[in-house]
Order: sequence, then C-alpha cells, then structure tokens
Amino acid sequence: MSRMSQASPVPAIRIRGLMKRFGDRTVLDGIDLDVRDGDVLCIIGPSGSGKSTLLRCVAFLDAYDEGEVNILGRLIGWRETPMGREPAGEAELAAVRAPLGMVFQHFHLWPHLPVLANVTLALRLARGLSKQGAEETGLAMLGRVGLTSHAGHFPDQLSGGQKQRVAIARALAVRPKVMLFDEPTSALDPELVGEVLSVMKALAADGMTMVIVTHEMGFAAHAANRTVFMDRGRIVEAGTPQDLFRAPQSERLRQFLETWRERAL
Amino acid sequence: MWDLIAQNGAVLLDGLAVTLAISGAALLVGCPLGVFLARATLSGRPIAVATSGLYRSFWRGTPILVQLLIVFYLPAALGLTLVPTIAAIIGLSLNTAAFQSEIYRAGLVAVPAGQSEAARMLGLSRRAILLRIELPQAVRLMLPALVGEALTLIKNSSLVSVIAVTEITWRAQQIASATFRPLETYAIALIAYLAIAALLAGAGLLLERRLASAGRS
Repeated sequence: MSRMSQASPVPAIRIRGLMKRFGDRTVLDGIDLDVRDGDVLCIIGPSGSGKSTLLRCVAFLDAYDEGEVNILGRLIGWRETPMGREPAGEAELAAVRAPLGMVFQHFHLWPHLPVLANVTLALRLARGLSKQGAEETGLAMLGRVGLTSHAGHFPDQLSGGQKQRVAIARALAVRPKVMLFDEPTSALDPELVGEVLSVMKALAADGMTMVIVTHEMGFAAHAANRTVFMDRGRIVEAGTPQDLFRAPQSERLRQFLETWRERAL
Repeated sequence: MWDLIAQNGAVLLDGLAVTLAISGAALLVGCPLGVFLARATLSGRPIAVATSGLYRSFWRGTPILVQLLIVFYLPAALGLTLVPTIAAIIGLSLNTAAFQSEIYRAGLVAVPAGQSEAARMLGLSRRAILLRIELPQAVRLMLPALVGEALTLIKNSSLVSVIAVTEITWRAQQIASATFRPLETYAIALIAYLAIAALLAGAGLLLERRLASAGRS
C-alpha cells in the first residue's frame, strides 16, 4: 500500500467538479484543482469570489454539494455507497482530515487556556501524548514561531500577530502534511502583518505544502510557486505568480490587479 | 422560639441535610441530562430537536407538585416500588434538566463556531470539544443562571414533603402539628432556606469572579 502510494503521484489535494451552494446561491461553481507535495499555492480574488469557501470545503468545515475533494487520495466528508453519497462518520472524517492543518483569519485560539495549552491540547487528547511529551513538542513549536517566552500567557495578552503565530504553532504541532491558511493576515493591524508572513515564508522554505487564501499580493508574488485567481465561484486563471501578475489573460484579473495597484499607491 | 429550636433543632438540621442531599443529587443528575437535551436541540436533526422540545414543554409546562406525584405513583401502578427519596430525586432531576437545558443551550450558542472548528481541524472528538472547549467557555456565561436554577431547585424540593420525604419542610410540618406552634416552626424552616440561599448566591459570585480573572491575569 505504502509502496503503491509512493509509486503513483497522488496529489496532496485533488479537487474535481466541486460545487457548493448556500440556498439558491452558487458559491463554488465547478472547481478543478490539484495541490501537489511542496506546492505553495496562493488563491487570490475579490471578496465573495468563493476563496474562503473553497478552503473550508477542502477541510470539510463546510459540506460541499457535488464533486470530489480527495486528501492524499481519500474522499473527504462523504462515503460513496451503492445508494449514493452519505456523510462520513466522525472518526472517518477525522482520519481523512488529519493531514490538514488550518489557520483562520480570526485565529480562534481558545481564550480559557494558556498559550502552551492551546498548542498541546490536541497532542494530549487527539494524539495521546504524555503531558511531558506534549509540552516538549509544544515548546518546540512555539520556538518555531518565536514565542517560547509567551508559553504561560493567555491569548488576551497577545497582539494579533502573536495570536496568529500561536495559531500556526498549534496547527503545526500535530504534524500536518498540508497547511491551509484562510486570510491569515486580514484581521491584523498593518504593522503586525510582516511577522506572520515571515513565519509563513520560513514554513514554505522548509518545504511545507501550503494553500493560502490571501489579499497579500506581495506574498503571493514572491513566496508562492503557484497562484490561482478566483471570481464568482470559478477559477479564472491559474499559473505561476509571474504568469498571473505580469501577463494576466482575462479582463477580470486585469481589473482586479489594477484596483489592487491603485490601492497600494 | 429558642426552646423550640433547642428541642427540635437536631431534627430540623437533619431535615435540612436531606433537603440539600436531594437538591444536590437532582442538580448533578440534571446536569448531563440538560447538556444532552441542549445538544439535541442544537443538533438540527428533526427528531432530536422535536423530542427535546417536547420534553421541555412537558416539564416546564406542568406544575412540579403534580410531576412529583406522578413520578411517585406511576411506578407503583406498574408494580414497582420506589422509595420516596428516590422518587423525589428522579422527579426533581427530570424537572431541572428541562430548565438547565435552556441554560446550556444559550451558553453553548454564545461560544463562537470558530472555537470548535479549530478543535475539529486538530482532530479533537466531539466529546472532547464539548468538555474541553465549549463548556468551559460557556460556564462563565451560564453561571448566574445556573445558581438561579440551583436556588429554584432547593425551594422546589420543599414540595417533595407531599410524598413523605423527610426533608426540612416535612419535618417542620411534623413539629408544627406536635407542638401546635406552626408559625414559629415554619419561620425557623424559612430562615434555614434563606441561609442556604445566601451561601449559594455568595459562592456563585465568588466563583464568577474567579472565572473572570482566570484567562486574564
């Protein structure tokens, strides 16, 4: 089994014909996308284009309606039966989801737990590590984001940038294969964006596979190896950052980049 | 009044202990049941929502005195004998569960969805998320209402005297009819209830302050 998966290039994430509706509004309208090992893929696009929903469907935080999302070759969220699809059980969903780590726009740190406990809770409860083992790993992860000295603080006592770095450490602690970032810097004061992006750059340099929904065009241009432009629930353009930023093919992307450049001035 | 206390104080104190034991037991049994009902309501599954709603309508919409009588006499009609104390605990538990479930529902709804989403992404089970993420945060919001429910429960427990549970009100009735001094006897019982209520409310405030400072200091 393991030899087979090594031999055949199973993409980390494989998306085919993905459809998602909220009521009668179609938010994702047939998405096809592969994320390969080592990819740093940025998804850009205007508000409401479906970027965040795409990420949430990949993680099955939102249930998609049609199509497939495969994580390391396994369908997430649904079980195919002769009678059609039915929702996967809790344990199966957790197992398929396990290779994914997620970082949210609003951090979602647990406010009643100190920073270290935020990082170690899943290690203890989901991975069954001892208190000591979990704390060693937890401190090492906090070290990676430069916050070892804040292990005993509570989330309220941190700046937005520090909170997001803790959230990254928390996600990394359970050793995900792919990290999903949902607008990780959009809730931050401008002067705090840099510290989070540099942690993410270091992660990319370590070879982590990453999918990043972002408005940080500079980051998309320099840290990503692939960029996807979405609009109205579809992928309009995909390619290298150079392709998209220097030679946009579609009118929509040209407009989008134009607006962004005007704003940047 | 003092001679009354001197002669019957021990009996009344004993009754107070029974009152606290019954109320405490009902509060504890009602807690997981209330959480379960709240989760059923929040699950969005039609059958679970409807069942939990019906349960609440029944126990909140009928007089607790009648509920206690039913819980006491129904098993007997089916050929089961229930010790009055057990019947009392069951009746009060089923009743408080309905009221507690509304408190838990409101508390759980107030915890942002992102809190459990982050936990799900890290592989925590539903149970772990409820116990380690959601309830600890909800407790701060629910504490005043839960203290209120505990006070209501202690007061409601006086009604189990009708099924001859030897709690403080029942003892007071016995003493009153033996001594022909009902006013003083019931006044003593009243003061005992008031003292318990004051203690409980005070403890609630202290706990609330401690929870508010944890997570900040």
